Amino acid sequence: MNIKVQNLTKEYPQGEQMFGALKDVNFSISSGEFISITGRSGSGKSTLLNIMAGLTLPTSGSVRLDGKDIFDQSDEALSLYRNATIGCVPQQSSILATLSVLDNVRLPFYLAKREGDSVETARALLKQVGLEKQGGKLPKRLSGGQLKRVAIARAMLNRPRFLFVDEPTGDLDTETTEEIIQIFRRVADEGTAILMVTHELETTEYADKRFHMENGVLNQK
Amino acid sequence: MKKTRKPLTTSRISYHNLSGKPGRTAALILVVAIMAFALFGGAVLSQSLDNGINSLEARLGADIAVVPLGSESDYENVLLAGSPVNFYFHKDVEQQATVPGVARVTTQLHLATLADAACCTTTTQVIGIDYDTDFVVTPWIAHFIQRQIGDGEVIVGSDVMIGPNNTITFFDISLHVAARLERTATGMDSSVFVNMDTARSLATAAEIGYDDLGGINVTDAASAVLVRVEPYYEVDEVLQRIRHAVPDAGLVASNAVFANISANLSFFTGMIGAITIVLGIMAVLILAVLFSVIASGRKKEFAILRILGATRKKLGGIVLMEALVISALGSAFGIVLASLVVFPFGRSIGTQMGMPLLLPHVLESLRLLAVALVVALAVGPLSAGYSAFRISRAETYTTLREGE
Repeated sequence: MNIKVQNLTKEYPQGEQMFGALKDVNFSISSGEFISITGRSGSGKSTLLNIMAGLTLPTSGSVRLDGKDIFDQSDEALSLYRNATIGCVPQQSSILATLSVLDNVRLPFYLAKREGDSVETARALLKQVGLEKQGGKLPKRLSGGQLKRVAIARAMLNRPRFLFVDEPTGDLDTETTEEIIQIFRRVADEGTAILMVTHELETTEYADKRFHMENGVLNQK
Repeated sequence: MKKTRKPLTTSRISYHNLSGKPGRTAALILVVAIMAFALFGGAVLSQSLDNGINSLEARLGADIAVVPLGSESDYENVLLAGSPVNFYFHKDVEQQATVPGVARVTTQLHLATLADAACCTTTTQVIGIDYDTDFVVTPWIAHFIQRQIGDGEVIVGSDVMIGPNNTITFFDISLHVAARLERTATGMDSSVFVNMDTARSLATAAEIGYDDLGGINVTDAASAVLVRVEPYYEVDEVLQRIRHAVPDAGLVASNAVFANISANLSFFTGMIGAITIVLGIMAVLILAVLFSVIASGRKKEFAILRILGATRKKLGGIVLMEALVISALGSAFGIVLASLVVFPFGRSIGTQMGMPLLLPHVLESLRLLAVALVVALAVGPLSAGYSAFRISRAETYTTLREGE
């Protein structure tokens, strides 16, 4: 399974002119690969990730999952793609405050119509990220690093083939950063492709391929 | 053994959202509750007033009442409020009032029992009816007792207290209660009915003498002569003829009493209706604004759900489900509260308003409840509809980057 980004551009109106957030971006990612994209804030890396997640439309170009453009699909199909094919770990805090940690993790299971239960899977994932004892707590009782790990566990609940991770270690200490990057490496080794965008060069050491983005242009290092 | 966890269905997610913000949820429920209270309470009161006016119309019976001059308002008070009062003239008025255009005529003898006196079980208006000629009371009481009441028997209005052994005592004469009438929300509820012989016996026992009766023997006294006008005759025309025939008597036209009350009732029902509509519109607008503000505050939460794979339909569903739960709880609170006010205190409200207020029967009440419930339940989803649409259309990427 692979995702191919072809001639992708994204432009925003800025005053009377158009601002190019992405300029003719081409690359692909396949199962088991760990790809990192570095670049300064505003370079276009989050925009790329969000287009690949089907959260915003490109101005031109395509994102193809096994050859099919994801934007040719209905809202239901695109939602299912986000729910099951990919997992997203957004840059911003993304844990729902009114649900317990365990419920936050198992939430994606119920957003698509499924039979069965997700509790054991959710507990196992929490254990993988070192939060097995935090499941019953509300998110406000957890630290920033712990919340990021909850988001990672949640993104992996439906066993996605691709994991899109946006600045996963931005506000974390060195030790936690190391732990999280190791989790991604392990996940990639188990067959899930990881696409991580970050502005921290040191976090890319475990990646198989490294790209750099500047002013909307993507280059492989 | 591990605790089982419920699936995170739309309603469960909504429940967590609502219970996670108890203050906000309570405020929303309160708005719906106020609306449901006004809607159901207003509907029951309006229906009660309608019932009251229908009952009054049915009870008035006669087109014209001829009473002693100056006793017109006393007679109206007997009809509307059952205020006990004595007024008499000679029963010959019956013959004098039988002018062309009069279809039927009957005489009543009224007698006020004494307040706080040992002789009487309760204070009430005793109305003596003439079974030979009556066309006003007998058709109505025939629903409750199919025979003529005899001497020493009494039919009591719904609100009249009776003594032990189904008896009631007036002026030390014990009368057997033959039947109790259904509530009418008129003065009839606090009146009692006897035949004319019993009425005269009571008047004698009350020592209402020649002087009290204005120089008339009790056997010749009457309080009101009730007249039914022939079809195709104008009531006003016959009324003028009676006025001419009995110049020293007072005349009360039922349609005038009814029109007056009806106008007041229409005003009140109109007021209640207007208040209910205004409150309903206000509730929808307030809720729409609140849902919109809340939805704006929860944009990021919905964006997260989108990222996790929620469809637009699912997001809309969560918003509408929350609105429905709020509506359901608010409706239940409002309707229960309204029931606790209007049903136990309905009569007092009617008395305070000076209106014939006849509470609806169970089935009628259930019908009103169903209508109020449906409307109140619809208020939440209706108000949240726009917010649900906006949320489902929001650009996830833009929402996530807001504030960066």
